[in-house]
Amino acid sequence: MNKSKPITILMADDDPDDRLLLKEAFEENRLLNNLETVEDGEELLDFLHRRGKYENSEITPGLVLLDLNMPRKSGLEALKEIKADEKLRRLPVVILTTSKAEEDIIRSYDLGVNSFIVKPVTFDSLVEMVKDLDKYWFQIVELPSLKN
Amino acid sequence: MFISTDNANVESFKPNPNGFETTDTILKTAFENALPNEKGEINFREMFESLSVIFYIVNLDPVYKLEYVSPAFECLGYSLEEIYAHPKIFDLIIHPDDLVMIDEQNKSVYDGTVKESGYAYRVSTKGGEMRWWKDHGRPIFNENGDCVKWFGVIYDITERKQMIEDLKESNEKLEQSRNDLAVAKSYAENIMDSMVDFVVVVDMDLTIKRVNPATLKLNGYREDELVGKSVNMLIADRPYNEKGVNLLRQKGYIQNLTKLNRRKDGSVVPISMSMCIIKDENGEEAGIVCVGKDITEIVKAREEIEKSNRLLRQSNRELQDFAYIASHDLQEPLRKVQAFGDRLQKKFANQLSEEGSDYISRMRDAAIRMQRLINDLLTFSRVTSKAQPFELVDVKKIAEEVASDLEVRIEQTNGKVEIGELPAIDADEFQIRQLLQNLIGNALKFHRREENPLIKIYAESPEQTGGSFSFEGELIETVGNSDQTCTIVVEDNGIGFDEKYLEKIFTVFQRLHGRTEYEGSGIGLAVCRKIVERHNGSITARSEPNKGATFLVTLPIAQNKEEIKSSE
Repeated sequence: MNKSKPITILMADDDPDDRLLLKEAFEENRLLNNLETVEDGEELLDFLHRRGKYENSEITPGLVLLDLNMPRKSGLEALKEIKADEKLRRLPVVILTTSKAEEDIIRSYDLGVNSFIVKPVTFDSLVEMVKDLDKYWFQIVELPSLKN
Repeated sequence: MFISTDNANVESFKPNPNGFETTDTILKTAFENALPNEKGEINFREMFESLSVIFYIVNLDPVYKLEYVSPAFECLGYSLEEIYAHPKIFDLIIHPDDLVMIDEQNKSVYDGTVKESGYAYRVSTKGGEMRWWKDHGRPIFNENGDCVKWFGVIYDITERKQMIEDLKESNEKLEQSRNDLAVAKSYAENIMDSMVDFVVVVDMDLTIKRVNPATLKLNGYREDELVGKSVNMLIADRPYNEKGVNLLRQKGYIQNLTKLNRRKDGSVVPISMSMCIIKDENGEEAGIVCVGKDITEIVKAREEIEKSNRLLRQSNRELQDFAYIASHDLQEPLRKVQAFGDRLQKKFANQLSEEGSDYISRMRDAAIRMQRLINDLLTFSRVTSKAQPFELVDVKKIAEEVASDLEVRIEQTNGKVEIGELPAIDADEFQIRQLLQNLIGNALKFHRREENPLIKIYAESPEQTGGSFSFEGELIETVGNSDQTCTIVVEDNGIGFDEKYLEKIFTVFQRLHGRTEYEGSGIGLAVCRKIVERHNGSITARSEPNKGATFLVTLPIAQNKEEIKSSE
């Protein structure tokens, strides 16, 4: 569909390995320019609200990939804030985590998460996942346009 | 005269409404009836005959003959004519058993030993009623010294006799009750003395009146050191006061009050005691009885239980924490080992030798195994951390569902699962499913190559190991009715095992076969045992190598739900 202006995917994960692997997976899919990363929930909200070190940022992400266990502000806390925020609540959030725990899945959906994905084990499946995410959220699904 | 003073007050003929006629009244009547005539003479005969006392004269010489009897004799129901007509009226009326005694007595009068006879005997009225007479007689001798006449006076002593009898009887009763009281008192004292519990009796003003030996033993005091002192000298916590006594008055008794008791040496022991007010025969408060015992051991045991409950809760919490860590943090590095191994193998495939690639494969396999171990351990820990409350579950239905879930594997091995009768029991449905899944799964896994697996699941008839007992006519079921059990049998025709490994097969990560032979981490049966133990049951197995295995799961049919709740 509209590919003239690339849509940014924002990843929040405190694990540098995971950030590296995801970057490589984006690279593999030739989508690297579309990925931004933050290291915890606090940074994620700063990014979204364009405050602190993101004061001068002009990027509005089209999708958030959110890890659950992060220092300072956890994924669930960040999710709760996003979904409670007038401006941010329509931003699709996908949990991308190691946890398969039932209570995490339930709590995430209760808080209004749009998808819950368990991190793939092999790199190949990670590449697949990135491809699928891109296809699903930016080609198949209709999303409300996000105002800055 | 004839009426001796010792009989004066009670002897009479008939009772009058105010009691008995006294000699005074008898004589008064006599004198009133015998007023002097105009000449001033008194008619004595008339006077005597008006009395209720009987006078008689018997002639003895030449033959026995009643010469005179006063009309009072008619009280026996005989008329004077009948009396005079009878040759020996006394022999007729006197009780035969008393005649001998009378003869004996009379003899000593005849021979002059005593001047006058005096004895009591029984007479019978014309109507057959028995009365007691007291007879005082005197012989009249002629100038030769021969006894020619007998003169006597009789009065009725039946009522007096009865009174004496009654008095004797009531004296006996009094004596008896005095004895009973003494027995009861020594009985009560024996009880008090032999009681293991202490007994302290205090006044309403809390002064110690009595203590039993157990009190002295508990406190190390002598009896005289306690009696007369305030009971509060034995109390280490809040002392008793008027308010407490009033509360006791309101309730009538106080039960199982826990207090701290101070001994003579200053040491303090916890006691549990009951108190009640005792009342005297007039219903007045007479004191307070306190009975109780040293509960040091109970308190200690209670503390132990609380401590182990606390530890249990703590370890349960830790287990849950562990489960969370295992599912998140422990998995994380493993996933990295796999992912980067994968990256290494793919991205640098052309730079890696075959040997190098093999090393990486082995490393990745090890990571996968570790991940499985963590998952298995997690499953094991979840038996406790994810336990659900017990409810009635149909084991047969679950067995059928499990067999249906395992259909693919059953078909692959050309196996057959036969499900017999199985009971409904109080259990955690998810865990019973897990139990049967592991047991049936195991039976399928360890089948013999040369024979198609045949698995039979059935229940052995429940056995009554405990019982119920009757109390006050009501049938009380023993706690939780958890005495009835059932045994679920899972029987296969597989490879079996040597029973010397029986303990090993139920232990976490213990395996009897190499990894390449049969896959799995050896968690299945350990999970089974943990589930069964959580259900207050037991699991065992019977087997011989190559002769199949039979797993026996014994579970209570009903669970004590309270107990489960409090232990979790």
